[in-house]
Amino acid sequence: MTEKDVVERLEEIVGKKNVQADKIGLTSYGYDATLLSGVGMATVFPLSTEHVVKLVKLANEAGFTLIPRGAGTNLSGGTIPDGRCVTVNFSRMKKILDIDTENFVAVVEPGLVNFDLQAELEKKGFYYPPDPASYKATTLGGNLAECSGGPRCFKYGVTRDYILGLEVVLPDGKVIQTGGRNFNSEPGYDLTRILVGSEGTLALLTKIFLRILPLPAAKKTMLAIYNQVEDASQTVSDIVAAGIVPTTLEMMDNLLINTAEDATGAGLPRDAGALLIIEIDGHPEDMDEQVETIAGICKKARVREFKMARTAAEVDQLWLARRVVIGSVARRRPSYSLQDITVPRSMFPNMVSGILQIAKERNLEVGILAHAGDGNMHPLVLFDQRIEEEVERVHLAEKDICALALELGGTLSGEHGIGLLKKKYLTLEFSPVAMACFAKIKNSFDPRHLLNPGKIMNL
Amino acid sequence: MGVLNDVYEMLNTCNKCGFCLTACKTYKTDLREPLSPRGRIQLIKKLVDGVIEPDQDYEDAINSCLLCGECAVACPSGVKGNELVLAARRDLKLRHGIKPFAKSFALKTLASPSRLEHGFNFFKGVGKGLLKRIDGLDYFRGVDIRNMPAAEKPFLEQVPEQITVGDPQKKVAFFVGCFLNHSLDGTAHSVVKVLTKNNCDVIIPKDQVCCGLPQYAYGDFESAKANARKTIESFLDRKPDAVLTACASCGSMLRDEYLKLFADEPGYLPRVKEFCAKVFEFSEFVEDQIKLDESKLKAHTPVKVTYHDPCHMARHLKITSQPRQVLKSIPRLQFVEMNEANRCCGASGLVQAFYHQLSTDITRQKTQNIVDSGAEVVATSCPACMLRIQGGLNFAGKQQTVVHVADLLAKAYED
Ligand SMILES: Cc1cc2nc3c(=O)[nH]c(=O)nc-3n(C[C@H](O)[C@H](O)[C@H](O)COP(=O)(O)OP(=O)(O)OC[C@H]3O[C@@H](n4cnc5c(N)ncnc54)[C@H](O)[C@@H]3O)c2cc1C
Ligand code: SF4
Ligand code: SF4
Repeated sequence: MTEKDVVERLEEIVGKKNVQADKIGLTSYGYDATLLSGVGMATVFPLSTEHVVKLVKLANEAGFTLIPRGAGTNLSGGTIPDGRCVTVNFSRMKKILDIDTENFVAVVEPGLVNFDLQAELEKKGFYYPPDPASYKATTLGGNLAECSGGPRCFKYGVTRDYILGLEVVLPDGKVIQTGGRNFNSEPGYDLTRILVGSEGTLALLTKIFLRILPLPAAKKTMLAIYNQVEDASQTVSDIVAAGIVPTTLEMMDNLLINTAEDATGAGLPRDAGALLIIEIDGHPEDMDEQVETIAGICKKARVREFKMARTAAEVDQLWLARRVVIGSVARRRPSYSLQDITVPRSMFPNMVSGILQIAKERNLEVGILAHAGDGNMHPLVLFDQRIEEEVERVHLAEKDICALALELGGTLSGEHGIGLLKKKYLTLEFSPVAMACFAKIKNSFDPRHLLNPGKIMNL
Repeated sequence: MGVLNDVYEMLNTCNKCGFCLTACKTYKTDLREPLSPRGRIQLIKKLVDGVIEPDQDYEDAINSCLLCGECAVACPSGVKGNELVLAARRDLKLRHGIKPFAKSFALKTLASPSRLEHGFNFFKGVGKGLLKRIDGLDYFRGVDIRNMPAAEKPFLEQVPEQITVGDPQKKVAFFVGCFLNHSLDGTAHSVVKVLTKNNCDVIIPKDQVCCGLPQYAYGDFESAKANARKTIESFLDRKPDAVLTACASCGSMLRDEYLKLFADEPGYLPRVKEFCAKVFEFSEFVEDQIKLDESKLKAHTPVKVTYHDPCHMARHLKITSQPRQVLKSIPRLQFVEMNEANRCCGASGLVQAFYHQLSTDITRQKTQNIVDSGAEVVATSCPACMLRIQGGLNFAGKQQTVVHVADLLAKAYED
């Protein structure tokens, strides 16, 4: 089947309005939030499970591959097309099918944007805890496929902890439902959990059953400012050791404080070495005591200033500053390389000082952002893609950082997925036997390598 | 390519994070990447890089932008999507003039006062009658033509060049703008009334022309400059204390964009600056420059009013509190906020004519928010928004009416 025939068949399935195969469209679906790009044959916008089934059958018949895509904000090259493939964009499958506040369940289509769900839930006094910093743009399907985390995940866990069940289209066009509305775990193999974080390589998601929670009765947001980044990381260890579980324990270093301040004008102290954004929630009567304990721990770690956000507007400002961090570094240099590593909490201070050391040795500017509570860290290495020699040093630094994380007993992906970008480091972390096990899982779902080929591992 | 090379660093600063997607009404409505800020920016960059050609699909992506500025507010990296689109339109203009024919015709008509008048006259007479008779065309492209007001004769012909008061506190030159001159002349009269009631002499230069924004927005800087120069000279000649406009779009052109337009003429720039410093938007002037004597305002029937922030008010002029203050000072007016008050209504110059389906879908979201607010009246500060939103409300069979802030204030001076 020629490319032109494929496009015609696609149009028969979803209608002309839901296919884009012009040059502009191919370019527009060729990138994600990384520096990678590629070109496919077309992009289609299915509106129903039935559409997806027909698309998969056509792909089998005509011999092309499928690249599932949500909002294209992933940081691992997970939606980059390559050659004879069609991008399946879920942005128009975005219905909320049910919000069941009695049983704490929401049923949604995968193209629904996280933020749009939150807005509807809030009207009913509920929320969905996983809130990646990119939540205003990202789809729940993308969140699920990457097993995204968010600032709240220290206390509340990541996407995986909120998925009750799925409806998916398998690579042979058959539809199955895994899990369901019931809270209890599924009998047999837990297919839901295999599919969460599978980066679009095993099946196409068409319906998601999510667990939702009532909004907490009380919340306190604090800002701790330090002269030295080491003091901030010490505080993190001490808070956790004291048995306190904040919802959020986010750290930003001096460089990121400055770029975030450029972006928001939130009033962050530009000369500080690091800051922590700490948020706790729970019963109103417990709040004061916890704040006091946290203040004490910060003081012991030589905090320069400890503040409580007094108004909702102040809380919003702090959160805005936190959410824009990654994007805001472009104000300093046009490109960044972002690692997504997680180390045991006790190793957190070692990892921070190790990164600073690597930056110095490679003569690069590095900003450190961390969901510090669970040891997940995003070192942002700044550079300019147009300067080749610098790009080389960046690659070396990336390698150093990954090696150090593994050496400290950590892992390479906390939450951004492997995609194309982190593939080369996966073998550093897993033994050949484990890698073979991965390949078997992929092959048993998708023997013809129809879905998102080349992502996570080469087969 | 010069224009785009000049903005290349900003194009390159976009790191494709997608934070702007939700902010963009055209994307949220259509849900295709090329109609998003990130999509548009990447296409412009690819054009400069020589990866794509400026074909019709490219032009559609560029020309369907509302220039609402929402993306610039949302971008953590400081990228201004609306400015990049403007540069891309300028680039297209330099490549091959403005296509399609109709768009270039519309812009030329706006630029020339005599042609514009002919246009409106045609519309008043034959055109409107003709359209009325053709069933289904009443709501031609989402604009409610049947009910669209057209002035019997242009406002500029209805009033003397100078209106004086007894003990003038200020001398104000009124920049009327095309819409108030030809369509919403009642609002222009409201503006004059409020000014005279507040002891301002009003000068209404008869030789005033279009501010040049419609041409500027599609990259025709030459025509825009010609009109800008006429405006600046005509108004400065009258030596006013202030130049006042009741149109947010004209306001942003007169106050801010003229400075950018003439950035390449350092010799003339001081004169431009002198002019721009005198420009005030209606509610801004009323709140900040004259002290509104609330005791003079009379109470009428109680009315529930909400406010729509035009894009040019909220994000270009950055005037948001003053119109609300003016409304709240009117006796027995109950003010309510609507959801998404500052989001675009879908008008955006010629976008509503050439991408009418998209525009209509965006307007529908606005009218829904108005209805949900429970208000009976929507006040706003831009005639283009007034016509667009009123059309949308009529289209949906709703009773709410749209007025200018000046109309409500002027009414409070009536017995
Ligand atoms: C500035 C910035 C900040 C970020 N912050 C965070 C953060 O705090 N935490 C975090 O975890 N991530 C973060 N991310 C990463 C990214 O936003 C997440 O990975 C997000 O979940 C991706 O969602 P998306 O809708 O953009 O999906 P895409 O990028 O479009 O796709 C992601 C993956 O999902 C697959 N996929 C999408 N839809 C389907 C479907 N229906 N069926 C099967 N597979 C599908 C794709 O094939 C791909 O592999 C950030 C990214 C940026 C740019
Ligand atoms: S314009 Fe700004 S917000 Fe949008 S993708 Fe580019 S960097 Fe991100
Ligand atoms: S100016 Fe408005 S319509 Fe244009 S890209 Fe930005 S947000 Fe979208």
